[in-house]
Amino acid sequence: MNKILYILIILFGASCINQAQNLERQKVFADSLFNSENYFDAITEYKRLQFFSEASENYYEINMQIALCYKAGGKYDDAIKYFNLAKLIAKSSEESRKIELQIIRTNILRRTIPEALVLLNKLDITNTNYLDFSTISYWKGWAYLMNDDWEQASNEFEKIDKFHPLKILADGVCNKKYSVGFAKFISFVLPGSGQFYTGNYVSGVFSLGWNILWGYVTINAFMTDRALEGILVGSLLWTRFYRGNFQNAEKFAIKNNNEISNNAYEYLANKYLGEKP
Amino acid sequence: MKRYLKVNLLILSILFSIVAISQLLAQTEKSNIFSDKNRLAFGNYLFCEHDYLRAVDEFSAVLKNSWNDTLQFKIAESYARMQQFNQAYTEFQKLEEKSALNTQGEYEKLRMLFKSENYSRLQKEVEKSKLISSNNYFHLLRLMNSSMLLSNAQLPPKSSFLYLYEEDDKSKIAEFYNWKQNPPYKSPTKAAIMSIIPGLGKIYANEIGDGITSFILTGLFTYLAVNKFEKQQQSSAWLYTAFAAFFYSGNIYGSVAAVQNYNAGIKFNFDNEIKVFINERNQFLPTPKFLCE
Amino acid sequence: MKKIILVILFLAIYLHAQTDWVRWEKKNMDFRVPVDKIYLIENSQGFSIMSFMQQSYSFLISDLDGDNCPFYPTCSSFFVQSVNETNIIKGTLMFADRFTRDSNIFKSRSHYPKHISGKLFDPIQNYLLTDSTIIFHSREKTVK
Repeated sequence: MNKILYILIILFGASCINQAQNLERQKVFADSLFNSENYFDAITEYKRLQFFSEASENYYEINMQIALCYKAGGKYDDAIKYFNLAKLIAKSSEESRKIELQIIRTNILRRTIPEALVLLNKLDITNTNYLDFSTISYWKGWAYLMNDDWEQASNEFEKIDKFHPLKILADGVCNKKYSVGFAKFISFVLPGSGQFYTGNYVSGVFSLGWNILWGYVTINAFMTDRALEGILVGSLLWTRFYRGNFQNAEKFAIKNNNEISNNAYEYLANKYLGEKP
Repeated sequence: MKRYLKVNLLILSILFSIVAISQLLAQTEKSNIFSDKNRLAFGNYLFCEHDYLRAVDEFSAVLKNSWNDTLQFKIAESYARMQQFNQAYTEFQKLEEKSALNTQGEYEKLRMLFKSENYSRLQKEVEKSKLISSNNYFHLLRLMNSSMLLSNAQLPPKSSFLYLYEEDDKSKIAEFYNWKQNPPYKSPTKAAIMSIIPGLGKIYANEIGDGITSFILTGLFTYLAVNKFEKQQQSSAWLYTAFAAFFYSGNIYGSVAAVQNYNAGIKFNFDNEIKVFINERNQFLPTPKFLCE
Repeated sequence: MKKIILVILFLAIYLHAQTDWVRWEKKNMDFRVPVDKIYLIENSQGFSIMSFMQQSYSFLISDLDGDNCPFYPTCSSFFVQSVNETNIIKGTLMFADRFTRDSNIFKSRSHYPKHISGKLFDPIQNYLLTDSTIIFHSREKTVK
């Protein structure tokens, strides 16, 4: 008789903890989906976990995980929304700080750099106790990197360490970059020279050729009293190729600069081993 | 005393076991978060959160175990809300005839055809629909008539077209009807004739800037050609003549094309206005009441 | 106050649930900035006299005379496409019209739809003189 009683008591107890165990199992399931990078389904399971959790104590972590899923899927707007939700229910300043940094990093990835910098500056002023300056400088540096502002980025990384690998990278990019204004200006003075500066020799030669040809035809027309033809050739052809010449110089400089930046970005994405946004 | 205690313990244990087992059963049902009941509850939550794709997954999992027409309807409605009208149509088709939701399902199928702009099929389906003999036939006829304004179907006489609609809508529908019968299109032939004077056809097609440009280009090269012919400079004279002819013929061709594009724009705006009008009235069909918005 | 913010946040999430209306996968890390889209979109197909002419035109003239053409496809590809689609005479007429519209001295071009390349969308299908091929695009949307 007593045995039956014991069994019943154990069953009763088991049924009470069953619910909690099930939620724990659900969390493990959701986490395993997250870890196997199956983010869409992970969100479904986190949402299910949240829906069935009666106590709201898990909500912070669940929202945080959902936000991280969206971030990994490149859905930055949604990620930031869920980070903000998690921030509202954060229990400690440490948790808050963790989320703020995540929001900043997502903004960097979304390339909404002004927003990231405003948030970083706010952190800088208010929370020096929780974060050391190098963390703030590091993410500021990244914000400038992603904004294609390598000089400012170099300055920020220098604050951490004079030989910081990202400072060296940023300096390298700065040195390699072409001056867009200079390319345009020299083409303004001598057609084709901006193209030579940016390494597009064939384009430079042809540009110079067209400008000499149409310049000659235009001037010749005016000299031989064919003013109307002079105006026609001058306005429709010569100015067209002259303008095209310095527009091209500018375009090539920008294109080259983009390539230089993209090479650096490729390195950052694939080879750089430090923390990334 | 001992016997008394034994009996008492027996009663106590029976009572206790009843409580414990019922509790256990309730808990297992509640705690298995993948049970049908819980999946349904979670699916409904997702549906109301506008997370339709996930809701469909939950509903489908429940449907596999037991058929439920409300759920089938919700699945179809989820696709409709995700703008996947063809898939929604297929899902609405799965509702059985004897289902209480069958009538609404029929309405929704027609709504899907309208939203996917499949007007000719919509008109055919309304004509053969069983609902046409019911009391609510005017819903269907209103939608069918309105869809005719958007397709190439032959319109019925004005009075029989208009009488179906509510008083408030009649004047606007009459306006649409008149437009459809006599659209304010411009004539491509007229444009071609007008462009004998370079640019005039373009101006007629509302392309004033293009018209003036065309006039200047043709005029300039004609002047140069004449000038060269007068000066006996044959080769450059013929070159300028070729340019003048190039722009002149292009002007005639372009005027006709410009009028056609102008007309396409007029039709596009007209169709848009009708679509907005019909959608504002929920395609003249009753909307399901039991779903969250 | 916190509650109000929560409500607003929920509302925002509610309205943006569309993200998940199509299944998505993990996004690989890529920080690169997109290169000029125009270069990626226009390619001439195969080798023919027309495409040879177009390529020489691009190399010798349109690459050098600046960014004058506000349209997509550019004038030279418009010409090649027109001739391929119709014949040399009709293609030339279409090109003459396009050239006139291109040199519009008032630059009044608000009635063209925008293309994803940032140019104005002006396909040959709208100038074949057949009503059925004309596609009118909403001016509010960008054509892809």
